[in-house]
Amino acid sequence: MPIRQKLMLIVMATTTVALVLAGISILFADFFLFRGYLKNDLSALSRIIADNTTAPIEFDDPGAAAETLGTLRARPHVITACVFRNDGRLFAQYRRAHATAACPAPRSAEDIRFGGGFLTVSHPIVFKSKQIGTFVLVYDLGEIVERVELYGATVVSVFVLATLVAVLLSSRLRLLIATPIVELARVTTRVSQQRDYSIRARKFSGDELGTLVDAFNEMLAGIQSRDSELRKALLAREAALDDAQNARASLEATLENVARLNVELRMSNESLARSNEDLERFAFIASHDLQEPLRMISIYSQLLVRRFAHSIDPQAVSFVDNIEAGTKRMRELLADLLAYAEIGARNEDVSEPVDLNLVVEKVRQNLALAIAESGATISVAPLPLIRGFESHFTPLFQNLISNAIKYRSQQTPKIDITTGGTNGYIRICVADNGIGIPPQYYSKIFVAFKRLHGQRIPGTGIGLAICQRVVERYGGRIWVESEVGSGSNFIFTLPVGLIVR
Amino acid sequence: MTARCGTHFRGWPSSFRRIRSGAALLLLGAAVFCNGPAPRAAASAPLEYDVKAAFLLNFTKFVEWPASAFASPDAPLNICILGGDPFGRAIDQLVEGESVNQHRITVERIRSDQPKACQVLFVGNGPIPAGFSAANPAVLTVGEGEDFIRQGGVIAFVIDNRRVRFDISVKAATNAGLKLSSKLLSVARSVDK
Repeated sequence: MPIRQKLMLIVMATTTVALVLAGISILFADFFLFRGYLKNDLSALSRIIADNTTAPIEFDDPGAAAETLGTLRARPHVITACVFRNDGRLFAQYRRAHATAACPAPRSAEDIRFGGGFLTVSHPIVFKSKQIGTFVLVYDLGEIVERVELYGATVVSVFVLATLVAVLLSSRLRLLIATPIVELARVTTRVSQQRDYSIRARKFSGDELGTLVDAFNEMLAGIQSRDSELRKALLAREAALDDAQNARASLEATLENVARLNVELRMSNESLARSNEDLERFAFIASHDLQEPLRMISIYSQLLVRRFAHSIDPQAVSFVDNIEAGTKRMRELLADLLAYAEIGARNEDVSEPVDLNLVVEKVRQNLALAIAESGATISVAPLPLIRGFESHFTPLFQNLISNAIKYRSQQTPKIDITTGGTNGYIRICVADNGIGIPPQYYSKIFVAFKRLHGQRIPGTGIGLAICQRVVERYGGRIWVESEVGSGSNFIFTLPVGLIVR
Repeated sequence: MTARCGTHFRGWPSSFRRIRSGAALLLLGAAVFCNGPAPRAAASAPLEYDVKAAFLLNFTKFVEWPASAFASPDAPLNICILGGDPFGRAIDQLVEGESVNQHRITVERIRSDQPKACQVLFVGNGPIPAGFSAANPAVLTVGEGEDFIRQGGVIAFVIDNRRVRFDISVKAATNAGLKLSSKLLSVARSVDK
């Protein structure tokens, strides 16, 4: 139901209730007040009439009494009135026109009572302090009904009039109350439908409804500002999201590149490994196959000297000796080269426990002549049993020990082989008291054919390269610590996992 | 009489019940209200005068005398009967013990040459004696017949329609200094202003 009709209903209901209550109260009040008034009125009337009938009674004149009673004609609701003598006899009576009612018996004292739609008054007639008779009056209460009807009609007409006034007033009320509320409702609907928070409700008055409109507008303003902030935040987030997507795309591209590079790297690694293998195979084959013609050169040059020693020029002999020396050196080179190549080539062989103590002993025998010549002393700490190939470790120790003897100082060579361990590796040191190595050569000396001392000390320049290759093949590392003039200390490590005992 | 008429008797004014001897014998009332044969002869005269005696007494209750009419505030109210007495003992019995405004009511029989202090003077059929008024200024004069008013009387008993009624002269009462109750006037047969 629209608020206008509700307001109208409220006005009507209030008016109706007020009028009905007022009407009922008036009716009730009048009913009782009128009864009281009627009682007093009829009591006074009875007293007057009783007084006026004293002389007729005293002088036994019923006609005069009837005349007095006849004045009651002015009161149409008096049905009948009687004057009784003291002994109960009827002295005079008045009857309303067409009435046939008889008077009730008189009562001794003054008495007014309601009953049966009538009011009965009994009033003693007293003259000179003596009761000389009784006046009785019967009053028709129809008057009360008439009054109730009159009041009811009045209430109904007032109600109709009030309704008309209320209807007229409600148009003004609508302006005062309904219009602001309707406006507010209209604005609310528009805001919720259009999501437009810039709409404002119109203010009609400075009362509570005006306050409501103000509060509503403030709320709208708050929502509007929050909405715009939200919109801004949303835009910022979208921008950030775009950035993130861009970054992701570039990252993906980078990853793709990396993957591609990885593939390329693997491929180049593979080709590198392949070429390396080819190279090693070539080196192996070359060093192996070159030995045969070299032997031929060596044999035939020796034959040449032995068979024609008496006939050829001694200078030629020296030439042949040079050939002989060259081929020998060539042979040594090839042997070392072959050894170097072998280290990588025999991967597939089954490994076996190698006692490094025995290896060192074998090397000592191999180098017995050099040891004897130099007077070198070699002390060896107990060495472990290693899983690997004996053919790898023999050149390792032989090269390190022969180098220690070869590059000796003025002192008698003294070689100490010791062991230690750290971080999952066993460390083996081969220390000498030789000429030492300047620090700038610490890494160069492990490169093949790099020789520190040129032709002064014989050597192929492959020894330390073989050592490095062996150690690295087993997952270890080799380096040198040295002081020029005091000696060198070659150190290599091997994984502890290789140790059998 | 009382026994025979009792059931039909319409009752007396209160003052009449005082009449013990005649047992409420109304002159014409007996003939009107009693179907039985009325008692004869002299009986009618006492009945009429019994009513008149009661009326005489009642008049005192509706008339106001000036204070000068009494020797003292508690002096008796004297009803004087001039000449022949038609009431007899009945009136004495009637007034016995009665009083009006602290004045005891007494009855005195007088002669015309014998001036007395009277408040009510019943003259019967005769005229008001000359000189009486001078001696008694405030006296209620009561007589018989319509002519009594013309002779200067205040109240005159008349027989009207076989009932005892009375005429009143307000003028005479005013001259005598008496105030008559309007109630008294209302029951009078005629009032001479």
